[in-house]
Amino acid sequence: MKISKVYVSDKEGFSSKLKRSIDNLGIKGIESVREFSVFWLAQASIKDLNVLSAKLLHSSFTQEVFINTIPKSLTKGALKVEVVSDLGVIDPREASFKKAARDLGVKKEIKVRFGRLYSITGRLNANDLALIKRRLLIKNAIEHEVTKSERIFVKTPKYKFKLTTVPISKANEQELLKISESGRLSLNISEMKEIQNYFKGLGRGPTDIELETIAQTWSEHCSHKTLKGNFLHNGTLINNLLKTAIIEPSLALRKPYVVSAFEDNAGGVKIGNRVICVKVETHNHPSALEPVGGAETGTGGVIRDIIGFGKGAKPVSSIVCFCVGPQDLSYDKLPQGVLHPKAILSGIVEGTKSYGNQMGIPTDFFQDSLLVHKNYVGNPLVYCGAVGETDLDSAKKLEPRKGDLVVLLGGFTGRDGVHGANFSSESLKGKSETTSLGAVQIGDAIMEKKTQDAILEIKDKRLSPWITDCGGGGLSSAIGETGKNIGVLVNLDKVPKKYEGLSYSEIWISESQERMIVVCSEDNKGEILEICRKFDVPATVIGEFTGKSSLELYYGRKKVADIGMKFLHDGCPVVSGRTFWKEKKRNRKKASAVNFGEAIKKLLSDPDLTSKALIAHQYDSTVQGGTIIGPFTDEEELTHEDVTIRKLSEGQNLGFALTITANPNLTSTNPRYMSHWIITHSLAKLAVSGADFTKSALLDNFSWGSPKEVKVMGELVESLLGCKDAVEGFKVPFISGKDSLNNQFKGDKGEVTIPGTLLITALAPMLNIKKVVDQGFQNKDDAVLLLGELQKDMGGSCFGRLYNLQGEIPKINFEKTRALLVQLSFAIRKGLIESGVAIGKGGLALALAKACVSSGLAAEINLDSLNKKFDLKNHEILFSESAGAVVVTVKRKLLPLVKEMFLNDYLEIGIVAENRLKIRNSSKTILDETVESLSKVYKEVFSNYYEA
Amino acid sequence: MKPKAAILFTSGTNCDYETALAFNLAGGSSEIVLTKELKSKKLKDYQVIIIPGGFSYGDHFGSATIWANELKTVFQDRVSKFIDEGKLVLGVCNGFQVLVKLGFLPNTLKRNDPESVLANNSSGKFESRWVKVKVNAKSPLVFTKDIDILDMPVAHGEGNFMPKDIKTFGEMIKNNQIVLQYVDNSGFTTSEYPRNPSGSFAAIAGICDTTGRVFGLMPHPERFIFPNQNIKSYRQNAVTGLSIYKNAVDYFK
Repeated sequence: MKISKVYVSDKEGFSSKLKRSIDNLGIKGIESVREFSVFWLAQASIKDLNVLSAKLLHSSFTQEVFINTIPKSLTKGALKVEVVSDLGVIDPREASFKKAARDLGVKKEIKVRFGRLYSITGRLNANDLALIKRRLLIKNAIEHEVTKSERIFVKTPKYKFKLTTVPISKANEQELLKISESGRLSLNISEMKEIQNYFKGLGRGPTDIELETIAQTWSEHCSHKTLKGNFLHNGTLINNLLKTAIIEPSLALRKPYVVSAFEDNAGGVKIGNRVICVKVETHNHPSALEPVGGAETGTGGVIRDIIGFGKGAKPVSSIVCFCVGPQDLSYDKLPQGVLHPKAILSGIVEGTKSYGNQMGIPTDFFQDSLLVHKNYVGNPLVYCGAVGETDLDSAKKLEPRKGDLVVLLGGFTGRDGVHGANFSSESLKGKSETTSLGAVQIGDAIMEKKTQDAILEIKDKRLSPWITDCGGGGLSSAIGETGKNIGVLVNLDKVPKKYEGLSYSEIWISESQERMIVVCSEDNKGEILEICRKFDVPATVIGEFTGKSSLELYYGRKKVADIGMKFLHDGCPVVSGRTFWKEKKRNRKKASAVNFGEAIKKLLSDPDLTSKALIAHQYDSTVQGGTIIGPFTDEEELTHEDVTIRKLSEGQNLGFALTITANPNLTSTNPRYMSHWIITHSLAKLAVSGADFTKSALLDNFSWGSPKEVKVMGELVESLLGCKDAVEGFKVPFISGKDSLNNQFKGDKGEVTIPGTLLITALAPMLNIKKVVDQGFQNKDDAVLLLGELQKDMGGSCFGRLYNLQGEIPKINFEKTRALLVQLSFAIRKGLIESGVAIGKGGLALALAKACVSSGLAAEINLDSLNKKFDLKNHEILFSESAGAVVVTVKRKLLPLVKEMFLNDYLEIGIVAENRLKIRNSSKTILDETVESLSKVYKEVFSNYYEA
Repeated sequence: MKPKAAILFTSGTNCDYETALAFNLAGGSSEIVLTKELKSKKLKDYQVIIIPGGFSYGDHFGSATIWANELKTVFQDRVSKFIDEGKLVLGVCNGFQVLVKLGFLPNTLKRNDPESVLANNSSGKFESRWVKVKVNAKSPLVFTKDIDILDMPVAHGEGNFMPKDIKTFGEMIKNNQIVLQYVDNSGFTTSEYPRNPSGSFAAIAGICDTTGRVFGLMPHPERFIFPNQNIKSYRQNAVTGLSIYKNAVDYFK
């Protein structure tokens, strides 16, 4: 086979960014690094090569191209490292290349593979080179260095069918566990025994694919068996924790605006005559290994959840939240086999932004979208969420009927993510890098966009009763769930493949991305396939619903699986556990003399509290034209708004407000109060933007440690019970949620568990998008009010951590807070409020500082009224994180009216001023800072130590 | 008669919805036209062609490369004729990149040769932010008539405009083809990041051809057609991007 190579590099081809990264590793002596894109082309004629390199592979204005050899002068004395993606990792550029080659008149089908060549000059020893390769040049999870003898184009052999049956009926416990382990099934002994019994009853052993199917369906990732388990917690029995703590209390509220809760890919609420649906997922473990691919997969996956909500929905915004290790962590503290937090962060930013931007979905990057903690080093968290809009009719799925067809839409199936669902349910080990190959894929956002285009037309034409996505567990999970009640038969050999050689079970459990399942009647098949052709989306009928209540899989004419749906979905033995939690005794330390000006600046430069605009600006936030507020409203676009507001595509003035909140620093103090705090703060943020509090909805995402640890689970149970308290107290329901367990990392530096991390996503309708407020002060001389209660407790607070204070978390009075927030959202709709910010991390002081930084105006605050109303010390007034309280500004002439509305919650604390934030009491000034100096720390710190 | 816009669409196009909304709101009518169906469409049915933003074919091998190649065969000659007939062409973001790659812009030599490039932003990153641009009052461009200063969002990774050579640039100046330039808050042209988010040469944000009927720009006027889409301007009653589409509609009155 004739293989040609095309090298392309920028004219000013020296990569200063890469050189800087090498310098950051502490490696000296490098002079320059030049990077070339490498294209291997098979069977290309000279003419083809010339056309392709001139018209497609490079741009003559800015790049240079070399065919087959690079001039010696360019690489003289240089070390060369050539990288190519692993076989089976499909680069989406391949399809684009083929299309473009056709358009350019290239007749023959030319095969292509992609890689990079680095040419490095300077003095470099072997160890340093190995380090650079590992840390910077090669993404080990998906690519490798080209070896001399490597054949770039290999023909994959065709798959020869062979049915595998697993001898299970006579296996003892030990053998059962061995079967589970060697098959990477992640099934425990009681589950294996249940399976053994089931197949004994059938009088035969299971096939490999049957075992895989059961393992997928019963995996933590797909079934959430731990949270659905029974817990003996602190001596009290809780049956089905998730149901008891979240689902039942939410449903018991019987909120008429909740259209879909806990039943579909996302939760949905009605606003006007539209439905807004939301889903948030985690994609933690894959992102630790290959941050770009892992994050792409996370974003793509949750967007598909939205596209596959009901009978289809249009994604209208996307949400991210990353929990990573300290960006300035020194390399000697980095456990072996772990990527540096910097590499992880820049990778997950790259992956999420490229996917969301390409899909044309505006992404919200909030203050809480990046949280830093040392225990996230080995096990970072990547939360990806998406919001969709659809019509009322399309918000509910209809059960498939007998004879309906299963149509597979979108990308082809490869070996991607085989065992991904089970893998994400396991904990990370230093060696995960080698044992988990195949767990990460390269995202193809354009395939997903095309699939979305097709599905939205299918929805608008009412051609399908049920649309769903292929996520964790692949076809197995998606089709198994779709046919749960009626039974389904699938012909696996009909599934279009990326390459030859896939076995029937690999096809079935593959987690290749960008695939959707559309159910349709025989009558609508033609029209659906026609729509898919129009948008260039592959679509294939691969099965039909049978009415037999079983899952039947065929490969050709051979039956490879036949499992009863009831056993598959209800057969998993209930998990039960004993958990325990007790509050630690703490000595309340006294705050030593603190310079408040210094404290506020330290807080403004804390990685959690400082501006992350540098990252936020990389996400398209205005596409689709729906954005009213967010992510920034200040002139320089550097101060995070806590809420984004988007308008609906229909209904002149209707919209929705959305926010996310997490505060892992509270968990170890009191996980139950942590949940209270997060939910209260979320709702306060919504209310203070003008959203309708009475129609709010919540989503939970728990990322926690090992379910085997009694104390870790004790915290989780407490946190869930805290959610229950808040649902009942605020009368606000959850509509969806997800959990990710086993977030701990075991490496050469010991085992580290993440702090239990609850992310709450909250949304509420905006009844009038013309009446919204943001956080920045609006007019000089407006009155500054505190609405709500300030509290004493500093436990887990930012100030407390800074000055080593311990204590409890502020306790929330749900009833009073609810009354305040209902009134507040009403006051804003009436146009009485000029600006508003909810008190959260950093307390009153930070709320004031952000209002200053955001507007360029300032405030003069007098603590006398505060001292009189609350029995608190100055540092408690300024820095206690009293969730539920808000700071608002009001035009002076409206004060009597506002006072009348808020009664006891009302307190005037100062006025909007210019230039300096001054806080004083009758006797002395305790804080006096220019807005400029506050802005400087808030806006600069993070950009200094985060490198894009 | 309402002028009708053909809004081109292909795999990865993502600003079609708000573009249609903008053109309709301005008083026109619009139709989303798939590139592969262009062959069977008659361009005489349309008065305006709009190439909207997005990531056509993932912008693989450089922004708009594949889309421009595709359009070259089915489209180039017909659009030249379309322009000669006195009709309008608008390319926003990815659409601007298409027009540049096809040589419709700046087209100082009137040969439809590529004379410029939209390279990677000098920041090395995708930039999503609000910018302020100033209109060249002497420009022959139809779309920007009577507009002075306009706030709009940008969202792109490759918007760094560079003319091929100084001669091209000289011609562009002479013909008043440089229509939009990034300005600071005081209204002065700026090369400073982030007010000039791409590092674009001479702060160029948008250009036209010599006829004044072909317009390409990086900022997105279609994302700012209602005053409250920009909370800052909302409070100041600023001009919105809708005026660009209104000018196009009015031109046919």
